[in-house]
Order: sequence, then structure tokens, then C-alpha cells
Amino acid sequence: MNLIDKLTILADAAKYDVSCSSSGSTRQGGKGTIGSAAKSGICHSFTADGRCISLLKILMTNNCIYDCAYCLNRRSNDKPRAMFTVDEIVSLTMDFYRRNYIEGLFLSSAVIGSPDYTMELLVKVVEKLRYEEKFHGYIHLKGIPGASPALIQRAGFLADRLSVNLELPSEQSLKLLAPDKTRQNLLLPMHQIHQGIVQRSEERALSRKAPAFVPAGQTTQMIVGASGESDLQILRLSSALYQKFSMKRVYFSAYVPVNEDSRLPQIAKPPVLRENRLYQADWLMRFYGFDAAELLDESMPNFDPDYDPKIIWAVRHPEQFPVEINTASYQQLIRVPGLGIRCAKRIVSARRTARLDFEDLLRMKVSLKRAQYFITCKGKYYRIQNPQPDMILRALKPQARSPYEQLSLFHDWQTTTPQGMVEVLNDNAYFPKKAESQSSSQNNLLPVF
Amino acid sequence: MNSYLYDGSFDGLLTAYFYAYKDTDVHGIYRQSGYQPDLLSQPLTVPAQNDKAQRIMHSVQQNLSAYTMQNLYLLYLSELPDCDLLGLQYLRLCFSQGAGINHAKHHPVIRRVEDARYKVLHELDHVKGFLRFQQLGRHVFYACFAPDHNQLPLLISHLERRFSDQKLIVHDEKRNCALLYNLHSSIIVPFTADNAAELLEHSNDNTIDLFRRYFQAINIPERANPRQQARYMPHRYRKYMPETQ
Repeated sequence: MNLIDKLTILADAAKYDVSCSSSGSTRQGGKGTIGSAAKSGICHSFTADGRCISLLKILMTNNCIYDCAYCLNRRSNDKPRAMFTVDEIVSLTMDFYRRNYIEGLFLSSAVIGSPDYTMELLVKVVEKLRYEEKFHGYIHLKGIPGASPALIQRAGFLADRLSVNLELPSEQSLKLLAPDKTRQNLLLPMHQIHQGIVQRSEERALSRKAPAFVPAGQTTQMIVGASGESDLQILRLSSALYQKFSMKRVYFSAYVPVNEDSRLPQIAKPPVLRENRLYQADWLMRFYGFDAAELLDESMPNFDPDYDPKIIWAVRHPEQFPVEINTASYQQLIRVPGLGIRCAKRIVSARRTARLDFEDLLRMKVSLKRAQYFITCKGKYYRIQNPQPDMILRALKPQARSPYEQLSLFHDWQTTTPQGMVEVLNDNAYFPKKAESQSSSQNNLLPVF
Repeated sequence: MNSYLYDGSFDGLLTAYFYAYKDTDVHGIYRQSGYQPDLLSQPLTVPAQNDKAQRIMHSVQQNLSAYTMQNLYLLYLSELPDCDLLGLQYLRLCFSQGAGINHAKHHPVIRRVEDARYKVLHELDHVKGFLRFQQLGRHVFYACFAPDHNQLPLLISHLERRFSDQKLIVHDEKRNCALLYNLHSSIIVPFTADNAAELLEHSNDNTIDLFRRYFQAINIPERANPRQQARYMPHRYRKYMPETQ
């Protein structure tokens, strides 16, 4: 089998690994070496599914001794199998890196032989890159569950980031869908990496010459939608992972049905919207100071497909609003739906020089579409005084408009539902909408002019 | 009404600022190469004077801030219409109000300066990722691109740090110049499409076939989202990215 076929098989087998980031490390080589890591990470290309190519993401081999239900590479699947040699991966990485195709290597593997044997192979690749090729680019290595702590330790000193996949959000699902893996097996290496990072950062505080251990931190990923957990359970779990193991990221991967299996749900499309909502919540927890318990609770264990988690939180907490732009703290500002980190920083910066009004906000390119219901400037709302939660939700409801709708000169104003103030102000309300109770179905019966 | 013309260098621009600063009747500041005379204004050609440029630079760094100086430089590199005049307005504003005026993100001049700054640095992020080298000799690599803003001066430090053991030629097709790196230092020289054709005559670098195959294999067709792809990787850059073709 030649290199190009191997690359096709093993890249195809690696594509369900979500992590693509190359950020967090500042590794540098001296003159005459190759490679550097960029603190913010660099994306080198984007595939047709909109995901970035930052690292050369490949498996060492897709020949697996395990039989996990959701996995493309499971033992019982009849798939072409391939395996790279250490030299092939090293030369591929260097060739791509020297041409600026990639930011580094993301090496993972199916388990071949035993976890230790597989991990040893991965470490060999990284050692060769670092020591022989003098490569200082970014390397993300997958920790193989069950590998010996000594190997994980060696990997940690060479790679920028280590990750161990949590696979599924609960122990029951793991038992059901990935019977060869145990919770213990997955959490132990995570714990070890966490300990290593803590210990090394203490050492580095004493001497900056102490070797870095996993400088870009550890991450993990889990599949969403392959088992019955609620968003609340998933969010609680990821929040615990951030706190206990100082994770840099917890990735979610919408379940893509690749296998026929009675244990798996039958779905037509991967639940990408759910994945998106979870990521929004994840961002709220990591950057916006939200707590998992604030976003979801037992009375509402799942996210609303129509609204993002921040809006839902805001309408459930009317006592926190309105927020006065000129006096609110930065922490209050970033909790306003429609205001992000960048806008909040701009506001905080600008109000040092003057008291702001809505004109100023618009000039600063702050979008008021959502924020207008939650903020005041100099004590005044933008357009609508004292908006009520149900009114806000109605105004912000995503509108399913068919692209083929024919606009008519003869609007049937009287047949549209009685309008609240919001709908009058909402531009789209001037046009009859589809999929809104009976009135629209009656419209369809009217003769077309 | 006076139009100040400078030679296109940053020193030249700062010299023009030096003379135009007190002039109450400035119509515009233009590069000599692209200048089109108009009926209203009278062109004044300003030769680049290093000492005058140094005075402005020194004064900005002493009395204002390094951030202000950086903004002036990025404005110059942005090559947006009227960016040079905007630079003068910005300079005057900062000197009259102090460097603290940079906080006033709602101020019309500051807003435009911040916009230009964002555009240049945002494109720099793109360029760092989207540049594609091909191998010409054992350790000689060539890349070409055509960025909206002048990115070569900003790329130097990144490329030297990353590819310190490769000789590099980075060709800006739009501005007909190239960055040359010889393992020790970098310079930017005039470079035309003919020069590039000469260089590429005998090159046969097939690594792109491997990467093209990788690019297809890593895609998940079930999650197709070309709109997202176009947002992150605008079509105008793809001409120079062989894996997308």
C-alpha cells in the first residue's frame, strides 16, 4: 500500500476527532531549527464542512482491538486497515509543515496490540520529530486509555497538548456502547496529566528553565446524541472536568451514525444544533463567568433549540435587568444577550471618556438586535419601554421563512394575528409569515393575483 | 487647498505629516505613484527626510504611546482609500487630546482607525495560515499571494521565527514585490510575475497532491456547511491555495 492510500484511509478514520485547536503554547526554536507555536493558534485551511485544518490529524493505525459501538474503526467493521510507520508520519509532518500547510501534528491511534504498545509508537514519532528533526511546531497527542503512567509522562514532556477522550457522558453509556473501556481507565491518565501540569507549573515558578509539561494543557471530547443523557448532565460533567482536571477545553461531537447497531439511536442527521447550544453554554462557562447551575436545572434539563442559552438565562432573571451601560460592571455587561467580550471591552473603554448613548453604541458597532431589551443608556431604553419576557422571546424567535415565498402587492393585513408592540417594530412582521397557525393556511387558499 | 505627495515609504509619509500638520488647508495626502491630479488642489511633492520622520516618531512615542505609533503604521499598511489623510487627522486628534483619546471607541476618527487596524491584523492572521510554499531547491521555498493590505513587513518576524532554516521567497503579486530570507536576514525587493515564472520553470513539487488528498479525506460530508467555510476562508484567497482547486 502506498503512502497516498494510507493517508486517505487514516485521515478518513481520524476525522471524527473534533479537536483542531493549535493554541496555548509558545514553543520556540532557536536559529537553524524549524517550527514555532503561535499562542492564539493558526488555522491553515477550512474543509467543506466548515471545520478548520490546523493540525495534520491522522491515526497511526485504524486496526483496533476494541469494539465500541459508535466507532468507525471498531473491530467488527469491515473496513480497509492501514498503519503508518514512524518514519512515514515524521516525513509527512515535516513536508507539510515546511510548506505551511499545517501548524503541527495531531496524532491519535486505534489500539493495536495493547495500550502500552500503541502509546509507545506514538511517543516514538514525537521523539523523532523533536530530537532528530528539531521540530518546534505544535504537537497534540492522544493519550491511550490504559497506557502506563511512565509513557504518559514521556509524552507530556514532548507534546504541547495531551487529550484523553471521555467518549460518552456517563458510565452507563460507556458500559453499553464501549464495553472495553472503563471509567477508571479514562480518568486515571487525565488525573495524572493534571497532577503533572500542576507540579511543573510550580517548578517553573521557581525556575523558568524547568521543562514544560503539556504547556497547552489537556482536553477531552465526548459524543453527544448517541446516548440518552440530558444537556444538564453533560454540562455538569464538563463543568466538573474544568474544575477537577483544569481542562483547557471539553469538546462535544454530534453523533454521526456510521454503524448499524441496535444499541444506537436511529437518526437522519447529526444533532449539530444541540452541539452548538452546548458549545455556547461551554463558552458562557469559560469566558462569561456563568455557572452550569445558572444555565440549566431540573425544571429545564435541555436547551431550547430556538434561543441561545444566554437569552434564556436573561429572560428567566428579569431582576438582573435592565443593565445601565454607563455604570454596569464589566461582569454585568458580558452577561447581557447580544454583548460579547469584544463589545463589552469597547464599552468599558469608551465610557472612560464620555457618557454613552445608543448613538455611540451603534457607532461602536454594538449590535442592538438582542441587547436593546436588556440595556439602558442614561436611564432610557432604546425603543421599547419595560419589555416583558414573553414579548422579548416573541421578538427574537427565529423566523422560518421559505426562500420561495412570493411577495404580494395585496397584503391581507386583517388576517394576521393581533400585533403586540414588538411585532409592529419587527420589520418582518409586516409580511405574512408561513407556519403561523391557521391564518397563514387561509392565506394559501386565497386566489393568487 | 494642498495635496501632499510622498514617495510611498513610511518615512515619506511621516515627513508629509510633518509638513502638513500645521497646514489648515490640507486636501489630501497621496502616494506619488497612484496620484491623479484634480482641479481643486495644488500638489506639493514632499521628499522623504529621515530626520523629520524621526522627529515625528520620537514625539509620538514620547508624548503619546507606542499604541498610537503602531496604529499609524498599520494605517499606512492598510492602503485603504484616504488612509493617509485619516492618519493625519488621527495624529492631530491624539496630540490635541492626549493618547487617552484612543479609549473613545465611539469617536468617528478613532472608530475608523480601529477598523483599519482590525482589517490589517485580521488579514495577517489569515495570511499566516493561508500562505502556501512550494519547494524550488533543497532548502528554498516560494510562495505567492495577493493580500488586500500590505502584509509583507508584518510577516517578516513570523516567518523568520518559524522557518529559520529555510530560504524563503514570498511574492506579493498585487504590489510586485517579494520578501527574501537568506537564513540570516530578510529584505523586501521589487519582484515581478516574470521573475516568478523564471523561478518556477523547473520546479516540480508534488507534495500538494498528498495534501489535496488529505483535505478531501478529513471532510465530513454529513456535516456539509459551505457557508461557514466561505466565512472563514473567503474565496478571494483560494486562488493561491491549491488544495481548494
